[in-house]
Amino acid sequence: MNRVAIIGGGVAGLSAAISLERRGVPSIIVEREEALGGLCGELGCKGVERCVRCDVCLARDMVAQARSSPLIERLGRAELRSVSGQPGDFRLAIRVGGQGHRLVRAAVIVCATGGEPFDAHLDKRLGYDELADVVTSLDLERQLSAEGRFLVPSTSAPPKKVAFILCVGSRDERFNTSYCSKACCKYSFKLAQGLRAIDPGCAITIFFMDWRLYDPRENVRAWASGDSGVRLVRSRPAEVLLGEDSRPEVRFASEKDAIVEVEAFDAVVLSVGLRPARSAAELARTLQVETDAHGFLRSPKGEPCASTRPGVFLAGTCRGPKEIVECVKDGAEAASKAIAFMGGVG
Amino acid sequence: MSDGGIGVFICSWGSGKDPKLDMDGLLSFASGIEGVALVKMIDRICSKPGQKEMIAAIKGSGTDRFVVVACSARTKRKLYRHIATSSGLHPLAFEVASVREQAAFVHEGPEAQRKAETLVRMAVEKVRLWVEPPFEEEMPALRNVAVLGDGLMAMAVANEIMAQGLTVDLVMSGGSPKGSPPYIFSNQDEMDRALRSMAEASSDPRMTTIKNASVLDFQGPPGDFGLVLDVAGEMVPLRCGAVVLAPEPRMELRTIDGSPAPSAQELIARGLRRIVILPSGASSGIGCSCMTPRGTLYALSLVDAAPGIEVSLMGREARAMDWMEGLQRLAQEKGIRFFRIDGEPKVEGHAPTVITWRDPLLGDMRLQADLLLLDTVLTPEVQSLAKAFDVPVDEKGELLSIDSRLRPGETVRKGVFAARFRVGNMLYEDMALEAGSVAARALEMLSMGTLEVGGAVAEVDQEKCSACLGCLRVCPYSAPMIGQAGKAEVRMELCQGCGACVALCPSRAIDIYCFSDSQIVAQSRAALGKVR
Amino acid sequence: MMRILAFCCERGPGEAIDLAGEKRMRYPADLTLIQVPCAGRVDVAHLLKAFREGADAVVLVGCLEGNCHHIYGNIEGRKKVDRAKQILDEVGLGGQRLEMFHVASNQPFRIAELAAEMASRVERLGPNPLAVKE
Repeated sequence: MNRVAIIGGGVAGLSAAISLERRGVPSIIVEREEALGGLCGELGCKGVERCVRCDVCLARDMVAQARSSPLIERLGRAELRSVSGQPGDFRLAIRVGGQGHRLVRAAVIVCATGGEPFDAHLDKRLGYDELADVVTSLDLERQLSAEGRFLVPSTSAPPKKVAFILCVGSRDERFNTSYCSKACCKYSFKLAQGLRAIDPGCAITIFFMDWRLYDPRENVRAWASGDSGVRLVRSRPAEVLLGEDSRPEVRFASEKDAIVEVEAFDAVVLSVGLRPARSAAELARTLQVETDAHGFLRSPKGEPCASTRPGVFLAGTCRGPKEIVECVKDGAEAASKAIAFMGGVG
Repeated sequence: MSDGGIGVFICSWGSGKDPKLDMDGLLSFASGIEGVALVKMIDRICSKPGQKEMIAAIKGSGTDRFVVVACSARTKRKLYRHIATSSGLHPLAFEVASVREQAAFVHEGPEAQRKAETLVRMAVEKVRLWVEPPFEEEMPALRNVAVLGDGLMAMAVANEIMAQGLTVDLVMSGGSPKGSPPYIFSNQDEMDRALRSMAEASSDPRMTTIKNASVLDFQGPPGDFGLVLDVAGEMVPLRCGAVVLAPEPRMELRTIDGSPAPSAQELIARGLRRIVILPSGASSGIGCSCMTPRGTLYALSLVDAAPGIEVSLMGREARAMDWMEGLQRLAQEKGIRFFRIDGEPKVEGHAPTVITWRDPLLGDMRLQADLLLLDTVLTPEVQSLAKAFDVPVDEKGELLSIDSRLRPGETVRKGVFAARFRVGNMLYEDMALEAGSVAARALEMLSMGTLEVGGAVAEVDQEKCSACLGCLRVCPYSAPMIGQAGKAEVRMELCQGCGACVALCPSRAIDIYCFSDSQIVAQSRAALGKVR
Repeated sequence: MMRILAFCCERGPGEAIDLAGEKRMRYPADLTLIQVPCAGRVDVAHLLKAFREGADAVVLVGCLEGNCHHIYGNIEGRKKVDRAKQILDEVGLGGQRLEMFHVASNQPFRIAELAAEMASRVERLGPNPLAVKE
């Protein structure tokens, strides 16, 4: 028996399924939602005529590939309840459609359940709760995905001045998220590029701590210095408040002088980080794998995509925050490890 | 063009639930089209009974091509190919009218019906002119991979490939690498394991290591490449199914005059107390202007060994990923200083060296150093690799690997894969992931033992070809070549069917199967209601 | 009813078309889509022939610049559109009837947008005079 059970139909799970399929190995994807795609299904393209390489369509294309493959079985509205058996012969009890049950046998499990965006409500100082025109990056992505534009919530007009605040819910001791969420620098850069392409009349200010773009071809500073509508400010804003004209105001320590500045914007976008899924701890127990200090499923050092249990492999943000392309790579690597565990193909 | 007539199969579920199309109406519409020999409604083509029914109907009639009227081709293409071959037809002998996505779901009532009819008409007109491609066959794929690179990444790729049962030829340009690998190990244990697996790979009988080699020639179809190597003056041939390029930079902490960074003991012995580490700058394209984990680890090693030493790091960004975040805090607690500077500081003098710069908040800054160290990157030489394997190089001087559409690790040359070092992914496990995923691409291509070639590819009518070389220049895959007769030929094992050469040819000498000029014109006419 | 013919690359735009269907996004039935392997497949002749056969407007829909699966097929397509526009202007049909659009696989809303854009151009320019003659 050489079937692989993949828990999660987001980009990492799809990547694993497709990589397995290309090597003739069948898989079954257990996806919680109705449709495949995961978090990337909610994200939008940030290009207008030029591609800005945000990689979201890469995830989208994988959904179509997975759906067209006879070797990839897909269970939608399906949740993993329990795992019995042992590596090489797992039995997964799956709840389908809220009431039905299914027992799935698989030689290997690939866990690709993803992470969750940081809940911006938790950072009270940034005003996500009270101020209508403070949105998260995910809110912005959803609008771009649906309509290809961004409108200020309270006025329904296109914004002329937008602020991005990076590292919301990342590198932050207050919320037990002291790690760097890896993907936010990239997606914030791409969102900013997208907004500039959609409306060159919209000025953007990005409040950042450090730029951590993993692809050396991505040069934020070159872009910013070449575009007069973009301003980079190395400062971590303390608060976002409601200004007198009902626009959000960002309060931050100036990087030019030893003073505190306050500046109003039409809209403020909070670039939220990634944290472990709420169900991660329970999932870890079900799969009998360990989590790390931050609550992500743990891969032993130097062994990407392995878990602490033989026969169970991890792919994607369930094992730590990553960019989309890294999730695709994880899927391929998990597939390789799965095949090696099963003793090679055929 | 078609002897046996065209079959039209209408999927009863193709109407979608809301709004519904009149599928019976489509059935009678299709029957009235000239050349349509068989029209049948099938209940759910994608179901097993539906497939069986369709296959039986095709076999029972004399049709040699068919149209499926249903949902989008995108998810069902493989299924229809399977139906075609099971019925004894060529796998590409069909067209799809996506009446669900392109009519039922997006238009209202009578308009939706009219559009559906138009789509059926277009599909019939297109398949009417379908010409069977000369082949879609399987070519053997050798289960051997040539991995080119001198460092750990190449070794890691080799290991991954061997773990899946294939063999590797490791081709190194030198005898052994200079400088240290650019990766950060999280602990000694990880490093020991990495070095051990390297040693194991070297002695693994499934791998052959060839040193001091450069590539003289590279030929052959993907799956069966032939390389000729220059190994210290001798010509050595090599056959492989795929090639993985893994050029790797080396990194060094060096003094200004190029010697390696001294140890703590040496510093104490020489009375050097104040150490400043500067990044080497972005000149290499791969290096950056950051304060790197490498610098931080070195600084920690100094401070732990000799508490009197003062270390400062300078750079634009503080790059500390994953578990390194805590390391930087630890370094700060131990008195190591991190200065963020934009741009280049002014460096003057010797023993001590004086470094000055302006900080936006703190004003003019001045630091004295007994020893200045540079965090340097030794870029790998990619130009010769790029030339040998015909892989374009991007503006940063890296092998072009387009991530957005192609799968990460692929290049435009089918069968040639490239593992990329990224300055942000300096952790050893990130390198291991890159190596693993690139190896996976090569394995996806080779593990089935054969490669599919042909099908919807371009073909040159040699009589019409004027050898203008236009097709050679426009093709991103180098599929066309000038053959023995002095005319262009398209190598079908490299052709990806994009049609750019067809659109460009001034002599109208090239056409493409399954999307021929006459087919496109016929579809246009049918779309505009110009067909009786 | 207008006749707007769209040559669509089967990758980005093709996926966007399917997604538009899945999401039940409405667009005018005047727009008919022909799928090609890449925008670069389409020749000047294909574009002009469509007008000769009575199309009021023609579009070439390719992937976003920099995201063509075949690297620069969309650029090749654009060159053909530019050339055909010149010819359409010269013969008096109006180069405005022809346009190139870039659509990503996850931009289904763009299908309706480009249909609306071309429909408004046809309203301004009038139906294809060649079609009326027949």
